[in-house]
Amino acid sequence: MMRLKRRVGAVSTVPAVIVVLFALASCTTPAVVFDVPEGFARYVEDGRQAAISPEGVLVSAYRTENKPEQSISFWTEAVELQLTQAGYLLLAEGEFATPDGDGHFFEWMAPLGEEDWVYLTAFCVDGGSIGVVEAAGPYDIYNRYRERIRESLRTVTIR
Amino acid sequence: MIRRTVRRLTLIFILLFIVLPSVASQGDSLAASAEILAVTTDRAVLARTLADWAEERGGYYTYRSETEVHLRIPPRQVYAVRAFLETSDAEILRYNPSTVDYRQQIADAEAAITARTEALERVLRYLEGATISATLAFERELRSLNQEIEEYTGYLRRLRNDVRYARVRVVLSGYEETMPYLRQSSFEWINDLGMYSFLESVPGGGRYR
Repeated sequence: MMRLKRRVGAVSTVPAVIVVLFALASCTTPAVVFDVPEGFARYVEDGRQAAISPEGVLVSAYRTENKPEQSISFWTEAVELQLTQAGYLLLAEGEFATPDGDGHFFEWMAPLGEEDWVYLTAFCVDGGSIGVVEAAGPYDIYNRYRERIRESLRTVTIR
Repeated sequence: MIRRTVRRLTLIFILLFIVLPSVASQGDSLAASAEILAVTTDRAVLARTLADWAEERGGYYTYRSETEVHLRIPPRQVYAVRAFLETSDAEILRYNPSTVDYRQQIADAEAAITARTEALERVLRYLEGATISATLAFERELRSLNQEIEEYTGYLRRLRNDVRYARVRVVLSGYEETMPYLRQSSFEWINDLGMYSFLESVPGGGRYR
């Protein structure tokens, strides 16, 4: 009888544990966080922190492995080479300092349909991790938020 | 005293009749052009402003749309286009000025016209005492020479117009016919970069697919 009760108890705790695990997973803190640019709505989905402006300018961040472990200048060169060869037009680039280390950003021009879009690629290196921030929006709308987005890059933290 | 005056006159002669014309002819054979890629928030307004600007500067436009403006402007104004764009809200992504020296082409065209004009005069002289059959042959030759002279004259006019007015093509967009594509990088995370993959992967970006 006792054995049966113990079994019943074990069976009933399994769904509860699963529920708790799912709940924890949905509340997971994103691996990379940043102060959302002013006027943007923050949201977290698939473990990523993202933000969106009322017009649809998107910003999102994620963590990736610094593999092979290299410096910010190495990755700057590699990213510039890759996206330039891919046909993106470089609009602007610059450096920024985050609490975790130095970062670099590029703003590229790329077509989407018949519109000119700006695509931002920013990253900072912290030991074995790289925090990557991407943003994109139509050229004229992105321009309105450009400074705010650049400002928020300084707050990027890798967890 | 006389010697000095003679020397001075000789120098003036050299300067007036040898040096200055050669400098002038050098300047008169250079055709300037520029390709500019600029991006702006309002393409239609900038296209119109550029066309107006060209007319104010003694030039004109040959094509105007929301994505492209083709200008013909005096060569000395080519660098001013860049300054003008910089003062407007446009961002210059590419600026490629270039010049071509048409001296040889102009000389060749002028020589061809002279040679054919002389030939034409000779044929006209022969025509006076020619027989009927010879007259017919001479007329054919005259027509052919006239046609060639017209062609060379048109070509020369085009070359001189290119020298007089620089060609400036301003593309008012980063939009290109081909979409950027990503080559494979040796680094995995760099392969994931790109605006299109970003818009597809980021929550909320799906509506741009």
